[in-house]
Amino acid sequence: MRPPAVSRRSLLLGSAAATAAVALPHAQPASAQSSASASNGAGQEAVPFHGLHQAGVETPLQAHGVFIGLDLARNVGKADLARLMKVWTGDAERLTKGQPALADTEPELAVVPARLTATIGFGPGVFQRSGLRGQKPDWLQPLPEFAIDRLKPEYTGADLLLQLAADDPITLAHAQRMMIKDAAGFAQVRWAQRGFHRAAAHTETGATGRNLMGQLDGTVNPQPETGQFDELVWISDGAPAWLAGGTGMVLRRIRMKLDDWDALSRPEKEMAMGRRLDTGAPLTGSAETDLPDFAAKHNNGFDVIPETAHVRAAAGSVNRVQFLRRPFNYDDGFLPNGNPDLGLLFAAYAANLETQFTPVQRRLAKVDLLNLWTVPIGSAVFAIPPGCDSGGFIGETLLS
Amino acid sequence: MARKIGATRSMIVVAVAAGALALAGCSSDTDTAAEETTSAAEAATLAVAEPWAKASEGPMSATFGVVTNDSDSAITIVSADTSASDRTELHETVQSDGVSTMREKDGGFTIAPQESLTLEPGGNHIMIMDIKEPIEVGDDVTVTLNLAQGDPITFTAQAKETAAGEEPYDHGGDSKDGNMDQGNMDSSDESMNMG
Repeated sequence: MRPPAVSRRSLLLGSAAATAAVALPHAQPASAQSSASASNGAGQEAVPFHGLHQAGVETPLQAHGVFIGLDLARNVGKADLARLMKVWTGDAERLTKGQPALADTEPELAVVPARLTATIGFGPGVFQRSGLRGQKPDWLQPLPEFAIDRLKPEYTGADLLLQLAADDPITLAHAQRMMIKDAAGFAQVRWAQRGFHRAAAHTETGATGRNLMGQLDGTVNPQPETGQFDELVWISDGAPAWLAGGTGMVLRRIRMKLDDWDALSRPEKEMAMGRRLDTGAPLTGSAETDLPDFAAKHNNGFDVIPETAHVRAAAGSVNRVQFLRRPFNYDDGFLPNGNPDLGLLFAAYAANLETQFTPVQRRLAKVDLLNLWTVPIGSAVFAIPPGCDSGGFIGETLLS
Repeated sequence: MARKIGATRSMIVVAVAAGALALAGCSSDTDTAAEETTSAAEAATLAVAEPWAKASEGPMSATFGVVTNDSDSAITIVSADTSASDRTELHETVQSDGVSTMREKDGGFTIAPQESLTLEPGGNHIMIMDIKEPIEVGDDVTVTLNLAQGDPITFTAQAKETAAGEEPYDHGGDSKDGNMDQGNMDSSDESMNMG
């Protein structure tokens, strides 16, 4: 089946010196095309890759995600990093549209875009390379050590972040395979952390996800495409200039001790959180989006939302949204002692991690009752460069 | 030789197309004019999708992609030029006695109307020989296809690593064995390391 002539003609290269960097949508290998036409249409939704900001931040949560931390090879400099970014950009442009990457070894796996997003981040190590020193934003550094942390090197720090997410696990696995393969010689994977939510068909797009403690997780979030979101998440001005339109990202791997959590009664679990498990409403309200009333007291004088409840500790004295949370659950089997190895890949995005994220984390580390059942075992920070237009590449404002 | 024939045919096609445009110019009927313009555009039209090149330390590389003939007549690619070297060949890969061998494609690649030619590792491809300097992953290689019919087309191919398509190269000598030791090039040049 061929597309209409008009779309073909608009991409034709009939004259001398015409440049054909553009991809023809219909010119996939025949085998890939037949697989696509066999699809029932589900999974064909694509998230635009190009734009002022990278996709995968403002994008409603997908069902599957993976955060991959890579370390740059010793000899990789600014020009080499630019070449990797051009290749990754090309891969992402095609794969997010449901087209095979260039040199795709399994093109049949690329035909379901399933809202695939690819988001690239630079860790502090990038800025130790020649030509890039002095370009590091001040806030881009490992978080301060918190007393609750039990960080493991295999989940901590990295020079590069590749964050992939999609509603289809095969789409995700294929994107990961192609893009990691293309990083060979430039960077080596330090960690890959896979996470998930409910299958896309089983939940409303944009709805708050549940974590494996059963809690709605991500209620207090800026709403996409609002002034508040822009202000909290996207970097609007310089310092450094190359990052305008980008954001900062922190990834914390938080293990949940569910066997211990199970020992609590349901009211005790809700007191620890400060919210109801079913609706996610604060204990002082009736709907998920109701603001918690920290002044409310029971007749006996006790706080309705205890001093040590997670929502109160997170809010502090400010009680307003500070950053975007976009977490995924993980479940990696069982620990040697038989306990489940599961928890949360807590991903947060903020224009300035140091002023927006770290103070909240500091309060939580001190007083949050949930610390009894959760342990941070991984931590990494990244600068997420702005998006790019067709013909450009991610990181061009830093690397060109 | 092939280049010369291609140039001759190309001039003929250009002349025909120019004639069509002249006719269109004489007509006051806008519909006819549009039709004639379309005919002229379809005199020779190839589109290249998914172009890429094999990253290589040297001496050889190759470029790949899907070339589609959207015109109503066959078009032959008679030769290619690239920014990476001064020496380029059109290659096909043939199976003989269970062994894949690549060799120069006699007469170039002819693409039937509304058909596509897939250039891929282990199949038909454009061989880039004696590259001037290493082609690194992410580099752009400019490729020009010279056609027997119509103007050349130029596109940009991004370099990527590939491990696929490693075949011995048959220089087309009279020995069917294609024995590498009998070639006039250094044996390391002859082993077509496509990976």
